[in-house]
Amino acid sequence: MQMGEARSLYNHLPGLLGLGAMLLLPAVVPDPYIWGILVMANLYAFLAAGFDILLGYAGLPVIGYGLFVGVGAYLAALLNLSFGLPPWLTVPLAGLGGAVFGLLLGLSCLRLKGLYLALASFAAAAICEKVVIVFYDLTNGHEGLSGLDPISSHPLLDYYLSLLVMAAGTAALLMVVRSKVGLVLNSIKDNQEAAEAVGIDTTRYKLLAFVLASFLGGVGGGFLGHYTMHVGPNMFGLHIALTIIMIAIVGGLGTITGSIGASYLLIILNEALREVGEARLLIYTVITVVIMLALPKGVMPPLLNLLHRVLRRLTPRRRRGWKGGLGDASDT
Amino acid sequence: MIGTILKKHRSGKALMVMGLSCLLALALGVLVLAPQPAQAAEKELRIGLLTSFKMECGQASINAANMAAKELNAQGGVLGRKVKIFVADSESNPEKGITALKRLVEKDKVHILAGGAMSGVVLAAMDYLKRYNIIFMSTGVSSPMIGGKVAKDYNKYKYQFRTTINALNLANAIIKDELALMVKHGYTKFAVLAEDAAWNRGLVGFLQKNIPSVGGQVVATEKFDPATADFAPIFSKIAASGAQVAVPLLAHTDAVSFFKQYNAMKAPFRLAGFNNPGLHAEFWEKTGGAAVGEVNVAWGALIRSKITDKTVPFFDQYRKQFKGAPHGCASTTYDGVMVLADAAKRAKGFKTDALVVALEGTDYIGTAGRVVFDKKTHDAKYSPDFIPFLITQWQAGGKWAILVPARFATSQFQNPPWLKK
Amino acid sequence: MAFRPRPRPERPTPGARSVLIEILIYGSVASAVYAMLAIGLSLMIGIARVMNLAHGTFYMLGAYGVFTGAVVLGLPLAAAFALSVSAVGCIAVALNRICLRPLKGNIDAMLVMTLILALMFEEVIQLIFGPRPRPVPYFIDGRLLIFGVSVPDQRLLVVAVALGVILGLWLFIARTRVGGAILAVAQDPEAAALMGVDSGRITLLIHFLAAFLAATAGILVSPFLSTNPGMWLWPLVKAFTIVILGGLGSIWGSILAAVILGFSETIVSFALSSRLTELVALAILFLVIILRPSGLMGSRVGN
Repeated sequence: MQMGEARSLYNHLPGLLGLGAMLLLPAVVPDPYIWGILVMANLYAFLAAGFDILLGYAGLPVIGYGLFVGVGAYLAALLNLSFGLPPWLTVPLAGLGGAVFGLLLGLSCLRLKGLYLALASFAAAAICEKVVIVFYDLTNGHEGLSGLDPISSHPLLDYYLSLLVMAAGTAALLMVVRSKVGLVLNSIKDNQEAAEAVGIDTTRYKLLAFVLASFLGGVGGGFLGHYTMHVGPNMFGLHIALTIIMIAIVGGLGTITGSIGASYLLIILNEALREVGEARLLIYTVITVVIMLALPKGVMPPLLNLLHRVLRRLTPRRRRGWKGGLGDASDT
Repeated sequence: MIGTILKKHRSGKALMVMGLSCLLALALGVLVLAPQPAQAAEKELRIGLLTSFKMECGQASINAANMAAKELNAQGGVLGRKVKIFVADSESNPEKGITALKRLVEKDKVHILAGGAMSGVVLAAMDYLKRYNIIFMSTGVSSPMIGGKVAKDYNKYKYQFRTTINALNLANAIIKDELALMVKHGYTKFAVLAEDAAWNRGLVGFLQKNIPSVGGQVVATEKFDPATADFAPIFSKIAASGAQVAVPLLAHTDAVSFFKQYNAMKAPFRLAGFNNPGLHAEFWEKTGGAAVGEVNVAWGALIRSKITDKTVPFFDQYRKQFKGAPHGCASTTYDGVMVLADAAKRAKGFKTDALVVALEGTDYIGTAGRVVFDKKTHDAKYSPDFIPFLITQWQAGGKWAILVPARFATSQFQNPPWLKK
Repeated sequence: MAFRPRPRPERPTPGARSVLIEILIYGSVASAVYAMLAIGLSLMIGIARVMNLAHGTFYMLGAYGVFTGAVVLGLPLAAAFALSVSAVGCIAVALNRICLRPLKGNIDAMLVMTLILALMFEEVIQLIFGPRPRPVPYFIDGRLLIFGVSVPDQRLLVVAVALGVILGLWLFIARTRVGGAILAVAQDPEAAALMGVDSGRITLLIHFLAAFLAATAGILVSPFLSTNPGMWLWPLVKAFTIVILGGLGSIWGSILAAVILGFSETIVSFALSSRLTELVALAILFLVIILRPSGLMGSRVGN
């Protein structure tokens, strides 16, 4: 028992340290401009964690992940602008809207994997993008809807709210994947037929992955829309989805928490590279390609490994109480 | 490949991870420690230019704003402050535009915002102006919704002014000057050919409603996505409708392809409408002469013509400095910066509220005409007495002629070569 | 009633017949371009088992290659053409060796990798050539009158070259030893390997051929369509639509599907609005995947 507790505390150390650092960050860097960037980093971490459930756990390459982000954003915008609902209501409703679309897409793509799923999800997202553009009476076409209520009235509050959403989202996902669900999803990813042969209802679990991921996508889209006070059809598009996918990959698929580190790395890098100007997306993509080739498991698992090694050297031998194993994230 | 190299050296991965962590630290460092301009801010007048770098309008705005700043600084600046232009790329995308705007205000600490190359970006940006208590001088967007928002909620949006056209004024000029000219030459069947975008949304309906008032008739209306690459089916449909004149409304479309395809087809109709990318003295060369016969509405210092005393010097100076003729957004941005400087002098300071009042009292002769802002919409007035619209045509040999108004006219309307009669 | 000048006589209004002929002509041009894109992609997926979302990139690189050769360097057109297609072919081969082989057939990784590569090339092109469209001059000027409809020669050139290239490819596969090897790998990779066919080299050859076809399509349309850094996306979507509609790995299925898509888009843009053409492709793609993933001909190998 004691051993277990020590182990779990030990395993959560990096996470707790990270959370502490994020909580204290605004005190160290008292600059609203930086806070604004970190809000985006939090949101993208949240969205990438949602994508990770699909590709990293269930092996579903839903390239049209932007569908859920866009649906969430537009739903929040319409509820806020037409019915005057406040952000604390519209953002969860956006998540529900996203989940409905996730369920629909999941139901229509039940038997699909690989290329077919990638293309079908891309097509679904692109169709929604085009539909939003064509029906401009409601959606204002290319230019999107502006004038949404801001998330809060203060940049510091924005930061802490985004941190709360991100932490709650990733914690919930971690709980899910550390339960039986994670194991089942992984077994579907490895061999769906085998999973079915042992009597697992793979359909239910795949739909669950779709619903979870699309709920996160919707919440992220709604939050993003309120935060920038604007939503546009490009939120459905490939560029935002690709940014999310790159973050999930750089962080390490199948880790959930990896997305946080990668999001902070890439979003901050992206803003810092503004000075370089036009080359920044290129640098971004090159980093991702190199990481995919050199570190197929992403950055976070080896980083945690390193951290653990350092921590182990720092802690007295007798308090360690367990051997090997580096926590779920890097247990690969 | 890289993977195999790393596998050979066991510490490779750790090294790479450490490298990436250093990169993150470095990036954070650059952000936090980047030269903080706050101290110098009080000795400068900082103008943040939010525009789309990849649009011609954006490049022209950047050039013109820097040119204006240089000239103001040569005269000792504004109220003793040097004018400095900060630029940020909106990437033609409202979300990216908002990030860029926040950077200008929060990091670069600009005092005034200007620019805009896409209506959607400016419409999204307008919601931030009251919060940041900052003025936005729009110099490259024409959506009527922008002026409409100011008129509807003055207290919230009074920070927005515009030196460029409002598409409604443009619509008037298209009908009363341009299309009336076509009717005068005997062409009465019109087809409206509009890209699908915010700036021209009201315009299409306006044209349909008002073309009959000058004796014309709308026989077809076609909307297309600005990303369209193949115009052949669209041109064929217009031809099939029997239209004698197509009225293109283009801003984000690839106008060079549009005109090359039109010319290659020798389409049996004239083009007389509004083509924003074509508002450039070098459009002829870009299309390889395919623009021949095009009638377009222009304003500002696009053509080297003496509209005000400042027009020709501006045109020559711009061409000398940037090795090319000014685009439509150049003179509006140049005038916009000059108008801001003028208002600051009259307000005797840079306080936003005083500047709003001073800008509302503006009466300034710029390169494009006399700049006076409408009290309700904060749009510069475009009419023969203020900033005049010019009806222009590309004619054989690459001559960009002015047809209307009479006092600036250099030529008469000519049909495209393949439509002699 | 006010006096209005009498309209001058214009060319006679084209009637329904000429609209039909126009649909026929422009539908064929679109089909020809799509066929070139889709056949290469079909080979790549069906035989080389590579799910390449960077296929549209070859189309874009072809167009920019000919721009560089013909406009920047001022080479004769034939030289620019040859330079462009061979350069794009080599890039495709290099991409396979460097970026796709290490993924060892992991389809999900391949999809994501190729999509990121496509984005990377978009950025590279944008850095070198700028974001604005670059004009490529017409290869041949002039127009041909077909049943009273005047058609620019450049568009007819597309159809002619596409027919030639596809015929050449068919002869190459059907009549040469290397072509036989390709067919052998397509039918049974293991058996082919036992017969001494090096499937790795066949994979590279197929990459070269697919990129060659896509680049040719990009080059041919570059004078009249927009040559810009984002031009890879829609041709890619359409090529996948065709490949899936036609059935993976089936060349004849691809040609048939290209004709179906080319004509349905043209008909929609004539009858309704050109704004809807992309929706047509997307709807076909989505519905075929959901309802009949095996396409018109051929089989599913995508999973």
